[in-house]
Amino acid sequence: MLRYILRRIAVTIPILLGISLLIFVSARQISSPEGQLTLNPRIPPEAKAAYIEALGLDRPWYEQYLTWLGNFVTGDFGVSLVKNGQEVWPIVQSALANTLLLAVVSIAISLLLGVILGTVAAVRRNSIFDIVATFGAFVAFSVPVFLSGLLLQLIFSVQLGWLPTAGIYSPGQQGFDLVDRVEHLVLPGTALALQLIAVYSRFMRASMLEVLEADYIRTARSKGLSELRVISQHGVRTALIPVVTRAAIDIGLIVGGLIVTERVFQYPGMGLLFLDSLFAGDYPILLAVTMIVVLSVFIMNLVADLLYAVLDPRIRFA
Amino acid sequence: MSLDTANRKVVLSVKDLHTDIKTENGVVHAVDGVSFDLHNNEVLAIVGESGCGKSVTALSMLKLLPKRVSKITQGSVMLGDLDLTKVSDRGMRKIRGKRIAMIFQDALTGLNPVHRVGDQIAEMILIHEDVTKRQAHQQAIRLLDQVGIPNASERADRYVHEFSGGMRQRAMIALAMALEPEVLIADEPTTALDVTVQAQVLEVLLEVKERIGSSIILITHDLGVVAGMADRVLVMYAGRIIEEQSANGLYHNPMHPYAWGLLNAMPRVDEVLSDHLASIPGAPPSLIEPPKGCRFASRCPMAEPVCEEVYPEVIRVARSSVACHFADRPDWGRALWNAEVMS
Ligand SMILES: Nc1ncnc2c1ncn2[C@@H]1O[C@H](COP(=O)(O)OP(=O)(O)OP(=O)(O)O)[C@@H](O)[C@H]1O
Ligand SMILES: [Mg+2]
Repeated sequence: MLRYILRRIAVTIPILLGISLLIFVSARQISSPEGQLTLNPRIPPEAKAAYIEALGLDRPWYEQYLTWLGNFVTGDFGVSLVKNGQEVWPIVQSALANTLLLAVVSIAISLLLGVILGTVAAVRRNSIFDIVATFGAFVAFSVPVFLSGLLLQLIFSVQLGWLPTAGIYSPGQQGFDLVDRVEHLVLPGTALALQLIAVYSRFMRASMLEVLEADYIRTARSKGLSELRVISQHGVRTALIPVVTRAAIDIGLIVGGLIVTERVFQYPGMGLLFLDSLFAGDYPILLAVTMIVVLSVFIMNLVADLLYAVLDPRIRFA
Repeated sequence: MSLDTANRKVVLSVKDLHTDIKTENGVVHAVDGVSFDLHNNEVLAIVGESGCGKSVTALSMLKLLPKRVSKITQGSVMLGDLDLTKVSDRGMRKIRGKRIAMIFQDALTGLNPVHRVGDQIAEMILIHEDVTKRQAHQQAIRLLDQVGIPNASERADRYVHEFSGGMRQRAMIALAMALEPEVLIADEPTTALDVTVQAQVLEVLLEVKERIGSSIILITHDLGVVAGMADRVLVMYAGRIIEEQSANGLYHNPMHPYAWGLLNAMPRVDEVLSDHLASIPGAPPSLIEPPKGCRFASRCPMAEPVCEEVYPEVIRVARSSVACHFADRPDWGRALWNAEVMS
């Protein structure tokens, strides 16, 4: 198992290098700090020259890349170009923490509900429940987040006034406040969970339908087990495997994929940071964000594979 | 291996059992009036072509068919004084595994891939008996040992995909015998196995039967298996039993033309072939709207107009029975099938 993990990491490193190069080149293409400096009439030319030199912008691009890479792997993410020279890492770290919180909470709740809904739909296939669940999942899945998000805000913030529309803390909030934090998590979390529940319940239903046809389910019944035990111990236990691993992969994807949700709810996570730094031409942040997104996808894919092996004894690492 | 069943106690008695299965094309009368008695400590074989209703008969007895699509419409299954067709779901849970256990064709798919083999046996013991987890686990190891699995205590913690074909089926037998049920139903227990392993597994099955003193219903395609282990044989055709005989009797004096056909189609004892029953020309009738006359008439070389019109009455001859209009003409079948095997 350890050898498998090490080999996966070894294979991942060159891929990461390639991707980082690609990102570096395109990030430097999209944003041109030297251009911005040159065009800005209020900055004196000497300051410009000093700044360009300090950032190494005058050197060839591959030298810049190697410098950036060297710094990146040693944990030095550089400084922001626009945010008054702030360190990149604390900015990215806080965005990552916010997004991970949103992703993990939504996925955990969606997984729980999706598995229950999918199981009941499969066990009572073609019942009213199944038909309603199928229809509901279809609707939830096809409504885009910018629409469901706006509707949620309209109903629960504007009309009912129960929950805040945006951000993670109320204005004027000092320090950490659990209730305030959770209140700000509910709407973006719901918008995200609506889609995830739709996906997981469909996925679980399909997986469960297949498992229910399996011979070992009949064997379990022939042992005199109660239907509840047959479904939970022998059905759900097996049908869960692909759904859980899928959820692990989703965590990795969501780290970089919540651009719309975070924008709608002004939720200061990775997606919003990506947009902001893209528009501001702040390529040190852009690079750090993208690399972390790519890394998280790799890591969560690896976690999913390991999870698969833990849950399914038939899987062996060769 | 003929056995005097007359003096033995009846363990399980099936009377006029009818099971319907709903399909897209209509209602399949998969079991259409099946009756038989299973006696104490006997091996009763059920043979017949694919689709004739053997498995549905077995699953009906344990009420393991999906309720949504199937229904026992008539008849009774008496286990002692208990009519299983009238027992509630909750009641059936106390019968399954405890009084009637079932062995399925392929243990690789029949045992759960994500639970340890020993745990799957222990699970059943725990459900039915008042024992601790530890005791159930120890019992599972003992059972695996008894069916000839080497290193049983270590094997009990393995998964089914780590077992060879023969070992899997032995584990299946260990599971079935765990609570010493009165009846073991084995639905083609060796079909998925290599020929060499088949004999060993059947041997284990017989040993287990002797040890726990149960009776076996053995469903098979393989007349060779029947010859080797059954006391009596039911020949099923299109949802009905058309002949019942001692195993010996069937081999030496089959009465129904279909039984003649089966034996004729069987390879010589020293040959090995799969699917012996496939070689009678023609196909069985649809079970959705079965013909009103003899169901074998369309394939029968000795059929006469009456066969198409009237379902033959079941004739009892000594302890055997047969459903054929011409069962009293002993040598017809032999002549018409031109049975070389019998020479
Ligand atoms: N779950 C089911 N759904 C629909 N039809 C079924 C189902 N199970 C059995 N049948 C039908 O019932 C009839 C009897 O099937 P059964 O499985 O009892 O045959 P069998 O004698 O066991 O055959 P085999 O030797 O192939 O196992 C067949 O016509 C089959 O198509
Ligand atoms: Mg069958």
